[in-house]
Amino acid sequence: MPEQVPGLTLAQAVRTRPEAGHRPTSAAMSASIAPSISALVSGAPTLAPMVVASPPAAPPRFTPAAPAAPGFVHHLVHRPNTPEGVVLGTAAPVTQEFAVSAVLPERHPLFNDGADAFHDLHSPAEALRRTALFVAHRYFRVPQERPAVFASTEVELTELEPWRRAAGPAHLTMDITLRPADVVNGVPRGLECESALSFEGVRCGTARARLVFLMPKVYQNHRERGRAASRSRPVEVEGAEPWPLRPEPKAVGRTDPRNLVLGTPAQNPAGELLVQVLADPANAVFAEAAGDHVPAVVLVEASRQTAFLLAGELHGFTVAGCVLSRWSARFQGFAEPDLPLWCRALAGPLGRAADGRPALPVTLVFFQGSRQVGSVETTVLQDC
Amino acid sequence: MRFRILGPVSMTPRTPTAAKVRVLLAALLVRANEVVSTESLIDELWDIDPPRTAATTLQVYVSQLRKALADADGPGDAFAAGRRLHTVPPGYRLHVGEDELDLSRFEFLRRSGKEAYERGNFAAASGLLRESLDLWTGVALSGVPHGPVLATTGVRLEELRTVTLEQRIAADLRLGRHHELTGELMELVSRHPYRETLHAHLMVALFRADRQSDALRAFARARRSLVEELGVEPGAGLRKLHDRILRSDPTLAWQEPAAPAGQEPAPALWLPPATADFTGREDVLTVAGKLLPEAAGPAPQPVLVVSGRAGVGKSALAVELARRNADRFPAGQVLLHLRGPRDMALDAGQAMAGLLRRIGPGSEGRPAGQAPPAAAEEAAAVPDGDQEELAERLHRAVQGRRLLVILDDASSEEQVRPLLAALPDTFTVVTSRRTLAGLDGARHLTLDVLRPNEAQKLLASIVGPRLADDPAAAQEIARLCGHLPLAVRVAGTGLAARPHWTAAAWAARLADESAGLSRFVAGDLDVRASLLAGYREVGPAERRAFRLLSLAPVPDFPLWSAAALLGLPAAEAEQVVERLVESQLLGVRRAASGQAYRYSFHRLLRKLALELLADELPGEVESATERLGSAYLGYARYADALLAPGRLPGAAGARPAARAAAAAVAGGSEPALVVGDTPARWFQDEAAGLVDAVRQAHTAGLWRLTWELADALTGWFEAGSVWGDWAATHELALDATLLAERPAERAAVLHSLGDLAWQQRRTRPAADRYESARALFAAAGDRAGQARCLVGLADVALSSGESGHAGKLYAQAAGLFEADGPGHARGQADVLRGLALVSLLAGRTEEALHRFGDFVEAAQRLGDKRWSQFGSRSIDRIQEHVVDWATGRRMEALEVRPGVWLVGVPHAGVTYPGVPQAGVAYPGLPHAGATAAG
Repeated sequence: MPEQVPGLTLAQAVRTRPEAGHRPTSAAMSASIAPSISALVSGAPTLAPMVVASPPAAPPRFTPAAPAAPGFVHHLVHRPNTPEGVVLGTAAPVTQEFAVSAVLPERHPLFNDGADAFHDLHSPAEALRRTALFVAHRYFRVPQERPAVFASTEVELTELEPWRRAAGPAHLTMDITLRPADVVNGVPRGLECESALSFEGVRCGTARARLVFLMPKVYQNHRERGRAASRSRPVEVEGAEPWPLRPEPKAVGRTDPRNLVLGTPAQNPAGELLVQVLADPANAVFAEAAGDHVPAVVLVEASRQTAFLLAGELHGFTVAGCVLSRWSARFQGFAEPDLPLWCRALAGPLGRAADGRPALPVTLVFFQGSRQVGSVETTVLQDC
Repeated sequence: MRFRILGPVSMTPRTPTAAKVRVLLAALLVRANEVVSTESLIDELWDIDPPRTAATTLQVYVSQLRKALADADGPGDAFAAGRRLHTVPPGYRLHVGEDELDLSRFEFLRRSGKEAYERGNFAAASGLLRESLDLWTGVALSGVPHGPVLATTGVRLEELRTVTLEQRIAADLRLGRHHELTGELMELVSRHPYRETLHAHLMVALFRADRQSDALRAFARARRSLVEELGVEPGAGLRKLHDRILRSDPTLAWQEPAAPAGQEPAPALWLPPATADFTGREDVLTVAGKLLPEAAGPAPQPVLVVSGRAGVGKSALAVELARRNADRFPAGQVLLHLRGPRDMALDAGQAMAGLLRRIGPGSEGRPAGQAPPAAAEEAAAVPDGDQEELAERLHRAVQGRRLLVILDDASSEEQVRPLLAALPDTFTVVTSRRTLAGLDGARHLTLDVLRPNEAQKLLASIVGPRLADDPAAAQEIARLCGHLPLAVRVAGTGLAARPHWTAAAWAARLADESAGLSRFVAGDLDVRASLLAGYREVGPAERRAFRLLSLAPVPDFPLWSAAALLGLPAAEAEQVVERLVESQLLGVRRAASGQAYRYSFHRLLRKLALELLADELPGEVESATERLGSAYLGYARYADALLAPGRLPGAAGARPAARAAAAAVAGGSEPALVVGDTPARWFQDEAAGLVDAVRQAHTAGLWRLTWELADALTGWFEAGSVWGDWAATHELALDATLLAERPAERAAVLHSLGDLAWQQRRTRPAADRYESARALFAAAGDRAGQARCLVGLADVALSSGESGHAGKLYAQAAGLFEADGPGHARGQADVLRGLALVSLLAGRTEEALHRFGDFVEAAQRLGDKRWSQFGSRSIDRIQEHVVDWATGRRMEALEVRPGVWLVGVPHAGVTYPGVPQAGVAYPGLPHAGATAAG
């Protein structure tokens, strides 16, 4: 009987770790059945499963074919709150304060691609992820062999203007509080992260994340179960209409075709989009983070592109002036790099932000086969 | 009783026969357990004509006395031999146990009797006082020649004996023993013809014994002896008593204390209307309820003092307590406000009169909910009668009745003590802004502000349901009120009266600092007036302290900062501050174990203090600010020298001076005691105050203090990465150096701001500031300053991926330090750190290990444990990953300074086609060839 993961509902592993045992190579080229978003959200049974007429046959996409691009360079400082922290550089497994400070890249191949009107959420999300992992191992002494799982991650804008790009380098500061959870023998098995974001010293957003550190055996069992579920129940193709072509990069907020991570979408009468996630293996940005699972940056980018596509094509937004004002993800499993990854997106009722700008809530679900990998709640804001 | 001086001086089992030895014994006994100087003993033995050998002879007497004492104590006694009579410079001390000396026993009994008398327990008082007088066996200290000390002590003891006797007789009179007393009193007045109290007692005893004419004759005799022998008329008290006897004042007659059976008066009910929205305090009410007597039992502690600052809800709590427990007090519940017009405290007579009105006949007739009239108004209507008489009447009025009395807003122990003495068996709740710690036998409850949720609940009950729409605003309003019930009530009333305002808008108005306390007024509810009452009660020294301490840092401050602000020695400052605490004008916060207490203002009291500060004498505020800032500077420099040795130029040599400077302005508190040996903790604890001191120094135009303070904080800001305070203080310091036209000091501030920008990875501003500082240092001929700037520029280059260029800059810095001579050990160690990092990034791990080894040794020589630990763990990490570094594999992160990590290290020699690296090629960075400063 496989070992159960106590209390674990998610998982996006971030530690690079070769998977033991046999890895199936038979790529299921068709879409798998997944519950519709409305069913996921409301719990109602799926009445009309979306069916893709001609599911795109795409090979697995996440074996890097290019040199890795560097992550953005930043300073991480510990703000010790005890004398021993100051003198010895150590940290007890209690709440600790850190700060990340960085000059954001001005010519990053992904982050600066597109209209480039606003800073993307990628940078703070990535900085928070890397900081949490680094601190966990370096300061909280979490053993390297315990893979980390991000159960949830959320970035939210509290002020829009500071996110607007100006000429010259942009300076990002993150005040980060890391709170160990479930400490056993002085070592935490989880980490709660909270951060306040500032651009050029102006407070403008928040970021949160929750990590779980798994015991190796638990991690392996979790992956194996996930892979089995991802390979099960191929899709019966019928119903919804596929679009004629893959979207143009500008329709998803980019200009470089290498950055497009979406296949050809299909749409049902209720306005749901279904699209396969297809990242370019030659893209150095995606290659940098590649491991034994689909990297976080691909999932962030896929959710961003899908949400923009939905807002632009179905709700009349001008994509060049779109910005994600909220991105809140909960993951239940890892996305397997050698299996098709699908994203289903449905917009909520159009509303307005406090400043009157149109704001479109979008719910996205990532799935492989019959397995839900994770869901993202995001809001697309129309700058005007 | 082993030793006796209340009569002939004696000692059991055997009194020394030699007169001089007895004198010595008596002199030591009257100051038992104290050191009596040799000089004083010689004076006692020989007065003004001591022999030349007096000192030697005294030693002989002491020796004889020791022997006598040892014989008396016996060989096995703890006090045997020399252990009872000690030689303690400058004299001798005789150890005497509590029960061994008749004087000690007399003092104890006399004090207990007096207290019993004041509590109204006259039977006990009479017994105790009688017992104390029975200890006397003759004239005090008789049987030995008297020197100056024994003579004055004898007089004092005789006076004490007579006073005690008078009090015992007073107790007997209250007990109705006037018949038995007349004979004794006649003898006493003949022995003490000028003691008017004894004459008065005799007159009262005779009057009560139905001998009115004898009483009048007693007055005539007393008057005659006073007039004929002293030429003075009897005092006002005696004359007044004479008048009352003349007119046969019935209140002077003795009356049975207990009310006759079957004549129980109706319950007295004098409470203000119930507070409809009384909120919280359940725990306090439960505790207080347990102190109340059961319906049929006695109250073990009949006095409960409820203290707390103005507006905290003491009266409301006392009334609520009375109402909830009304069934335990069938004879009624009565509240008496102890203040008159203009908040003047009533005297005890006025208060007794007011209380008599409430509990006397007719007190039950006040309609429910009608506020009771002020006691002061009623006092005017009370017939003449002295306090003693009123006390007697009050005592008779409450005797046998189960009453609860609330004495509201007492000003002092002196005010309520006579009242409590007249209410010995009545459960009494005293409310006061002061703790009234001097009330013997009372139980004390100190009321603090409401809990946040209680304050919000009270606010909601006043404002109504609309507050539920914005809980955050409700929380903020409660916070701005400091959770003080009166302020919450005023703020709630203000909002309730303005239905068109949102709670958030009202909170913003309350938060307006410039408005002071003016927002906290609603009708006759005035927070300022309430808080001012407490302020006006304290003395001028405390009022000054209250005002000046508003300059102290928030949220709390230590004693030494109070001493500095007040310009007083620490001991004196503590007395003043503690009196403010006792008056509830200042709070005390318990600090962590091993640390001193810290004082704090309630936020509204601080507002009041700041308002009152405007009345301070010109220059006083500036002087106080400078004193506090100078104290902070001294301690900060001391702490900095511990945290980052050698950082401040010449700091090691300046430490004693800094210590002295700090101690001088902070009431004499030594830095070693204030800072301790954990400077990081001290900086953490005092951070708010230190930053505030920089701001205040700048506001006061104290430019030097501004930049010196900021400079002294740099080491802490760097170690703790305290970016916000670092920037704020140094921008002020920069401004100060500009206004004072001090380019050299400006360079130091710019360098520190460069360090800040580097930590924040704001590479271009960092380089700009280091360059600006370097230019100023160069103009001033400060080579070490230039070298420090080069180290900063090298750090910028290093974290930008230009490690080769960084190496050249570090090397230049090393050359400048070397050229400038000794005294730059810290700077030189820092260069070693930089060069080690350069080696590491170039893949020369062995060289890096050597350089880090040198760095650790240099840090150890400096005494900088933080740096040496950093160096050691850097060595460990390199050794863990020697192969990775040597083969150019990219490492995740590199600790470039203690606690500062360069993440995504731009490793030398590794490039990424098509992907530009972040943060490289800053035009502000100098090139090696251009930085050779002279």
